[in-house]
Amino acid sequence: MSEQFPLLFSPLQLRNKTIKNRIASTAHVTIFAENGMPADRERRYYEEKAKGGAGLLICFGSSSVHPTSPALDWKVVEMFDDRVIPHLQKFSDTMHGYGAAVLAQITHRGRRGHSNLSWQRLLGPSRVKEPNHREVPGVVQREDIDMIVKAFGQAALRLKQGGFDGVEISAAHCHLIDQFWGPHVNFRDDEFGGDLDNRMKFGFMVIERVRETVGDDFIVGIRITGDDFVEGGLNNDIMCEIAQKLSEHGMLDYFNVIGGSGETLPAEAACVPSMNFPLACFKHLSGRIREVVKEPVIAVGRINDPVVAEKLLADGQGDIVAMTRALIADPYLPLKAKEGRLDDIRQCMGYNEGCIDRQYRGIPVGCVQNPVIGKEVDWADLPPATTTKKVVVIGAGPAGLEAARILKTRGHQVVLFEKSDRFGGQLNIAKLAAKRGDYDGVARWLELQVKKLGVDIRLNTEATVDGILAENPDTVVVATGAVPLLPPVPGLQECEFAVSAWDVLLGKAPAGNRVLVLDDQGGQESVGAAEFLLDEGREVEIITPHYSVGEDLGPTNKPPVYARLYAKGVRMQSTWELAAIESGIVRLRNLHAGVEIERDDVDVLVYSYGGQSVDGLARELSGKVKELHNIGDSYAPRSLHHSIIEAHKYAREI
Amino acid sequence: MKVLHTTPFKIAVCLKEVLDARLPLKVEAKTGAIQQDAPEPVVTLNPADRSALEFAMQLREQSPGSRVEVFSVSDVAGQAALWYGLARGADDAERIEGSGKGAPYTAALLATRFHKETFDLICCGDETLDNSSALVGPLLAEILDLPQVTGVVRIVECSKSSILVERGLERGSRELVEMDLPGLITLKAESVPWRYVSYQKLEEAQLRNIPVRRETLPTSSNGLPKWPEQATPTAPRARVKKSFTPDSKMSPADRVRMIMAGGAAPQESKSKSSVVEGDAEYVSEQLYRFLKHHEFV
Ligand SMILES: Cc1cc2nc3c(=O)[nH]c(=O)nc-3n(C[C@H](O)[C@H](O)[C@H](O)COP(=O)(O)OP(=O)(O)OC[C@H]3O[C@@H](n4cnc5c(N)ncnc54)[C@H](O)[C@@H]3O)c2cc1C
Ligand SMILES: Cc1cc2nc3c(=O)[nH]c(=O)nc-3n(C[C@H](O)[C@H](O)[C@H](O)COP(=O)(O)O)c2cc1C
Repeated sequence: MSEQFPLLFSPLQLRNKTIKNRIASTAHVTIFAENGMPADRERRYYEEKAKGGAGLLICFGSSSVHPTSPALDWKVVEMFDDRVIPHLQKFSDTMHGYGAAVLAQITHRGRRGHSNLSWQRLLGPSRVKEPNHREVPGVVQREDIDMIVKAFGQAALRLKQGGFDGVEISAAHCHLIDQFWGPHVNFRDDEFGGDLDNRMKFGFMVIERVRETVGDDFIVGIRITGDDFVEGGLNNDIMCEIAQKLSEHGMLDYFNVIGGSGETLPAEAACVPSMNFPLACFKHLSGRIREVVKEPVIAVGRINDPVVAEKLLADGQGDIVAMTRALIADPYLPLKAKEGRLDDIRQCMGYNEGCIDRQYRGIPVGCVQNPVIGKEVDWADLPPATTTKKVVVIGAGPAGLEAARILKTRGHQVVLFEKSDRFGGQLNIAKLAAKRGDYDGVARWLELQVKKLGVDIRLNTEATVDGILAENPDTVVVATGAVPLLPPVPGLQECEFAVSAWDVLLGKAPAGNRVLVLDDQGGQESVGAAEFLLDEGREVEIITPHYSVGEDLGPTNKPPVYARLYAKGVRMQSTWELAAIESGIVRLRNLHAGVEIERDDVDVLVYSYGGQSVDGLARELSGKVKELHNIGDSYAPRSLHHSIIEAHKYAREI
Repeated sequence: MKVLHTTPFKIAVCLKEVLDARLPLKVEAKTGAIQQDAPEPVVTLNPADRSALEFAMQLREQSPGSRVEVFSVSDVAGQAALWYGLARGADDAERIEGSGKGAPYTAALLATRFHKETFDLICCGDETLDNSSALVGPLLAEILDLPQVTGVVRIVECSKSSILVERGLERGSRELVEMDLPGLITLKAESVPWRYVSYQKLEEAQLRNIPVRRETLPTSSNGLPKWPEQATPTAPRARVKKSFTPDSKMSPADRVRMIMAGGAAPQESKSKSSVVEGDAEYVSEQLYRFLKHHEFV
C-alpha cells in the first residue's frame, strides 16, 4: 500500500467485485468505434489505462441501448446489437489481464441530438427541445417506454455476456432518464409526469429491468448530476431527493456524481470543467449526495492530482475519484503515484482542446500534451533508434521539447538550443491570461523530462547557421516557433496605438481607456488580451469578422470565458473586419454587407491575427545539413496540439 | 420460530464431515491431532452443521419459494455431508476444493463462492467436533463484510430484512440479538432439533452429481491465505466534510460563477477593478483605504 496515498490505493468492494484502488476513468466518448463496435483502437487506448493501474474503468461514453438514441454524431458503441458481444469479450479479457474492473456506460440520449444522420425520430418525454441541439423531439409513447426499457436490459445483458463486470446507466447530461426527471423538460400528464415520483417512474423501470436481466452478480451503477445549473431544472436540493429515493430503492451499487448538464451552453461546459474551474470543483456536490445515499459515491470534476484525490477521499466527499482526463493525459498516473514519482506525472491541464472539445465536434479524442493518445496501436511502444545520430534541436517551445525528449529516449545524442532564458516558447505568454495559469503545464513536464534524460541544453543561446554547423549534426530539427502576425492592413504597421494581443499579455499595451480588440485569430489570444485590459479597468469592445468572438474556442472553453467577459462589461460585435487606419480613425468593414464605418473613439487597438512562422533558419539550413525537419509553428503557426504531434512523429522516425 | 413475511429467502448452509465422536477417540501425543480408535475412520455430519441445515430447511418450509444451497470445502470424501444436505431437501449442493488447511483457508475458499452471489442468510455450525476452533463462520462474515451472530441457540423471528435470535452466553444466560440481513449466523448443535432423513432419500442423493469448484488462493508471506479478491480491508467510510455549496435558490449563472471562483461571492456585473487618479498623496490615501477595507493591512 502506498504510504502517501493510503485511501487512494485502498480497495473497495462493489457488489461481487473488489476494485483494487479508488481511481476511476469515467465514461467518455472517444469516437474510436468502428461501425459502432469497439475495435482495436479503442481497446489499445483503454489497455494503457489498465496497464497504468487504474482500478475502475467505466468505458465507452454514452453507448446506445437502442437505434433511436442519436449516436452517429459521436460514433458511439452500439450496444443494441449482438454483434458487439465478441468485441466486448476481447475488450474485457484485455482489461482483466491487468486486474482492472471493467464497466461500460449505456444510455438513451432522448432528445439530445439531431435526427439528420440516422433519420431516426428523436424521442423526449414532452415536445420540448433541448436548448443546445434545438430539435423538437417526438413524445415518448407507452409502447416506446416498454421498447426502451427492454433495450436497456438487453444492452446490459450483452455486457455481461461479453465478460464485463458491470454497467453504468446514464441519467446525467440530460439524457432520456433525467429528461423524465426534469420539471423543465417533462410536462406529461400521464403516470410518467407530474410529481417527482411519477417523473422517476421511467428511470426506476429501467433500473429494475437491468437488475432483473443481469442478476445479482453484476455491478449496476448510475451517473447523475449533483446540480444541473439550468434554470428551473435539477438543482442540488432536487438531486439530493432523487438520489435518496434511488438509494432507498436499493438496486444500485454506486452513484457517479457530475456537475452540470448537456442542455445549455454554460451547463454543458461545466460537465467537463476546463482550467477555468478550480481543482475538484464539484466535491461539494458528491459530498452532499453521499450524505443521503448508503452506496459508494464517485466524485468527479477536475481531479488531476493524487494529492487532491487523497484529500477528497479523506474529507468524505467521495469513495472513488474520477480522474478521467488525468488518465488521458497520463494513463500511468496510478503507478507513478504509487511509486511516489509525482514529478513524472504528466498532469492534465484541463484545457480540453485535445479531448472533449474535439469530441463535441465529432473528431476522435486525443490529448494536447500526450501525442500517443488515440494512436496507441502505432505509438504506445517507442522503439530505440537503429543508428545513433547527433541531432540538434532549435527552440525549446513545446515542439522542440517533445522532439528532444523522444530523440534522447530513443538513444540519440541531442543538443537543444533556446535563445531565451526559459522553456516553453509561446506558452509563457499564453499562460499570462486570466485562468490560464496551468497552460504551461505541458512545458513544465517536458522541461523536467529533458533535464532528467540528460539532453545537452543551451539556454540563452540563439542558434545560427554557423553555430549549428559547428556542432556537426547528422540531423537538425527546427522548432523556432512564431511571432505575432501583422497583416498588410493599410495604416496598421504605422499605427502608434496598435498593439498585438501577445504584447498586451506581456504588459506592453499603450495607455488609454477605450480599447478595441480585433479578433481574427478566433482562439484564446484576443479574449485573453481583452480580459487582461478589462481587469485593468479599461473599457473593451471586441469585434470579429467571424460569427462570434472566439469562434474556434471549444464548447467547454467558450462559456466560462464569455461569463467572465460579460460580467466585466465587455461589448462584442461579430462580422466586422479591420479595413484601415487613417490618422487616428479606425475604419471597420462589415464582411457581408460591405459597408464601412469610421470609429474615432479608439484609444488602443489590439490586433490578433495569430502567428507568423519564424522559419529563417529552416530556409537557410536547407541543403547544408544531411537531414532537416521543420516542425511546429515554424512550419506553419497552428496549435499546441499540432506542435506536439508533429514533434513526436518526426522524432520517432529519425 | 415465527416467519414474519413469507417472501422467499436465499439461504446458504456450510457443512463439514467430522470424525464420529461416538466412537472411542485418542489424541496423538506428538501432533495433538485427534484420531479415532478404529481400523477405518467413521465420519458423520458435524452436529452443529446439522442444526444449521435443519433451521434452513424449516425456514424454507415456512416461506414458500425459498431456496437452500449447501456448500462444503473438502476433498471428495467430504461429499457425504452434501449428500446428507440434499437428502434433507436442499435444492443444490456444491463442493469447493482448494489448497491449504485450517479455518482461514476454509473461510477464504467459501468466500470466493459468496463473492459471486449474495444470499440472504448464511448458516454455519458454531463449531466442529474435531477442531472446535469456531472460526470459520466469523472469518467468513468478516471477509464478506456481513453482520454476524455467533452461538445462536434459538431463532425467535425472521423477516426478509432482519432476524431475531437468542445467543447462548455463559452459565445458561441468553442474549436477544436482532441482526440485519443479509447476514451470517452460527448455530449451536442443540439449537434446532433434527429430523430424520430417510434412507431412500439418502440413496437418491448419492446418485446426484455434485459440482466441484476449484479455487487457488494467493498465499502471503506469513503462510496464511490472502483473503480472496481483497488484499486489504476496505477503509471505513469517511464522514463528509462540509464544503462550500451555493444555495440552490441562486441563479444557475451565479452558482457556476461562484464555483469557478472557488467559492467567492458572485462578481458584480461592473468591473471589479478601478483606476484611481490624482496626486501622489491622494492616490496613496485611496490605496491605504482600499487595503484597510479589505483587511489586507
Ligand atoms: C497568447 C497565446 C495564446 C495561445 N493560445 C493557444 C491555445 O489556446 N491553443 C493552442 O493550441 N495554441 C495556442 N497558442 C499557440 C501555441 O502556444 C503555439 O502553437 C505553440 O507554442 C507552438 O509551439 P512551438 O514549439 O512550435 O513554437 P514556440 O512555442 O513559438 O517555441 C519556439 C521557441 O523557439 C525559440 N527560438 C526561436 N528562434 C530561435 C533560435 N534561432 N535559436 C534558439 N531558439 C530559438 C523561441 O525562443 C521559442 O522558445 C497560443 C499562443 C499565444 C501566444
Ligand atoms: C472526450 C470526453 C468525452 C466524454 N463523454 C462522456 C459521456 O459520453 N458520458 C459521460 O457520462 N461523461 C462523458 N465525459 C465526462 C467524463 O466522464 C468526466 O465526467 C469528465 O471528464 C470530468 O472528469 P475529469 O475531470 O476527471 O476528466 C466525457 C469526457 C471527455 C473528456
